[in-house]
Amino acid sequence: MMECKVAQELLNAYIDGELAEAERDQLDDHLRSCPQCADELAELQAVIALCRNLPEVEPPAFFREQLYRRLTTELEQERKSLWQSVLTWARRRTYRSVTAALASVLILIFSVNGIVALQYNNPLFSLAGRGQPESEADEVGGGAPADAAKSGVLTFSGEKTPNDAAALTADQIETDQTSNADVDGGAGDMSITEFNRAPAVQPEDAATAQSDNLPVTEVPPEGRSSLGMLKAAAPTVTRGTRMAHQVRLVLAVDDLEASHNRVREITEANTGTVANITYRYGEGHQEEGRQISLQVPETLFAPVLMELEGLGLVTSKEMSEVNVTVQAMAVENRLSNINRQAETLTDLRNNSQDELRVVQIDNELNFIENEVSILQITADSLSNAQIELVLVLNTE
Amino acid sequence: MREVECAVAASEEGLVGRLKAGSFEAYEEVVGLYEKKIFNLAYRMVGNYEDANDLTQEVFVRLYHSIQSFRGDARFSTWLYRIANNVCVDELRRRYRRKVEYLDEPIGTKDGSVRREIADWAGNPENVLETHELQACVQAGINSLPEEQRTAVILRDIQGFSYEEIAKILNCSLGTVKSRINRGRQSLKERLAGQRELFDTDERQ
Repeated sequence: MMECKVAQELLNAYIDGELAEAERDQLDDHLRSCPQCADELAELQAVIALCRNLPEVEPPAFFREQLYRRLTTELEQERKSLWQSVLTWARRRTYRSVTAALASVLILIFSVNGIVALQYNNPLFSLAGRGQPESEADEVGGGAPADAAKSGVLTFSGEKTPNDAAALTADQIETDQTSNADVDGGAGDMSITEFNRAPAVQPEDAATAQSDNLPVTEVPPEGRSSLGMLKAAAPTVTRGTRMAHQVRLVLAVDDLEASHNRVREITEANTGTVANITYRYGEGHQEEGRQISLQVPETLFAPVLMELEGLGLVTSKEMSEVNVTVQAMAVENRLSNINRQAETLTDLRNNSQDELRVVQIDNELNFIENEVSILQITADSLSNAQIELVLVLNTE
Repeated sequence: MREVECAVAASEEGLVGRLKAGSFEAYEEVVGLYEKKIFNLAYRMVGNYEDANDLTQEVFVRLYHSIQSFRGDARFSTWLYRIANNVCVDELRRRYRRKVEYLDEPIGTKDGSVRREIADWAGNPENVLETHELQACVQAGINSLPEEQRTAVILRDIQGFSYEEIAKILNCSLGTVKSRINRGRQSLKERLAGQRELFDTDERQ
C-alpha cells in the first residue's frame, strides 16, 4: 500500500497525466481508500481550475505598430552610434595628422554603414516580395477570416475574435451617434472609429521619432483609409543615381559659442537638424572645441557647406559620397507597390457589404499606413547629407 | 490547440529559414502566431498590463536581434518561449532589487484605450465584479510565488505545456519541473485557502 506522503508527491503529475501506468494504478488504489489524499487531490484540481479559468487578455491594438516603430528606431540608432564611435576614435588623434588615418576610417565607416543599412533595410524591402495586390484582392474577396489568417497581409484581422468585432461595432454606434457622422459614407465611418480606438500611442510615438530628428507622416482621422493621404506620403519616383554626401569639416573659429549659434541657425534655415553635439575640453577644463553632427537635405548640401565654411578657417575637409540609389529605389518601389495595394483594398472596402470584412480591410489599411510612415522615415534619412563639423579655437 | 501546434511545427523550419534571411513577412507571421501567447505569459508573470506590453515588445525585439543565433537544437517556439521567460525573469529580478510592489496595482492605469482593451473580461456578465475579484486573487497568488515556481505553474496551468516542453523551455530536468509545479501549486493552494468563499463560488459555476 502506498504511503500518503508518497501519494501526495505524485498527485500533481497524476493530474497532469505525467505518471507511468503502474504508478497511476497504485495511486488510484490509494485514492479509493484514503479520503485525505482524495481531498487533497480535489483541492489541487480546484486550484488548477482557477488558473485555467483566468481569461486570456488581448494585447493592445497598437502592439504591432509600436513594435515595428521601435525596431526601426533602434536600428537607426545602431547605425548612428557606429558612426559616432568611429568618429570619436578619429577625434582623439590630432587634427593635423589625421588626414591619412581618416581616409581609411572613412572607408571603414562607409562599408560598416553600408552593411548596417542593408540589414536595416532588408526586412522592409523584402515586404515587396509579398503577394501582388490582385491576388490579395482575391483572398480578401473570397476568404472567410480563417482564410485571411493564412495570407500574410491579413494575419492582423484574421486573428480578431468575433468579440472584438462586436466591441468595434458597439464603439462605432457610439461614435456615429456622437459625431453625427456622414450617413452616406456608410463604410467610411468605420475607419474613423477604428482610429479612435487606439489613438493613445500616436502622440508619444511621434515625439520619439521627432526627437530622433526623423519626420513622421501625420495622418488625420479623416484620412485613415483615404488613399489621398497615402499617396501624399509617397515621394515621386525619380530616375538616376542617388548620392548622399558625408563630410567632415574642421574649422578654426574665434568664438566657439557664437559659431555654434550660427551653425544652428544655418541648419535650421535649411530645414536640417542637429543630431549631436560633443564638447571637447583640454587640460585645466579650458574648452578647446566642439563637434556638431548635422543632417541637411541632400538638395541643400552645397549651399549649407559653403555657409559653414564661411564661419572660420578651414583646417581640414574630408568629403565623400555614398551611393544610395539601390536603397532609395527599393523604398520608392515598395511605396508605389503598397499604394497600389491600398488602392485595391479601398475599392474592395467601398464595395463590401460585410461589416466584418470592412473592419478587416480597415485594419489592413491601418497597417499599410504605418508601413508607409516607416518607409517615409527611411526615405528621408536616405536623402539627407551628413555633416560632421568640428569647431576648434583659433589659437593663431 | 494541439492541431494548430502540429501545423506550426511543420511549417516552423521554413519560417525560421525565411526569418534568418531577413524576411519581414516571416517576422510578421511569427508576431502574429505568438503575440497573444507571449503577451499572456508576460501578463501572468508580472500581473500588470503595461509591463506585459513592454516585455512582449522586448521579446520580439530580442527575437529580431538573435534569430541568427538560433541553431535549431530546440523547436523554434520553445526557443522563443525561452527568450520570453528570460525577459520576464530579468524584469522580476530588476523589480525585486528596486523593491517595487506592483501586485495590487490596478491594471492599465495611464491609458484609456488600454483599459478598454482589457475591460473585456470573459465570464458571466451579471457576476463581473465577483469574477474579477476572484481572478485578481488568483493573479496575486501567482505573483506571490517565487519566480521559478511561478513560471512552471503558468506554463503548465495557463499555457498548457507538457512537463517535457517546460523542461526544454526552462532548460532544466523533468524532475525539476515536477518539483517546481508541486511546490508552486501547493503554495498557491495555501494562499488561496484563505479565500475559501471565492473558491466555492468558482466551484459552483
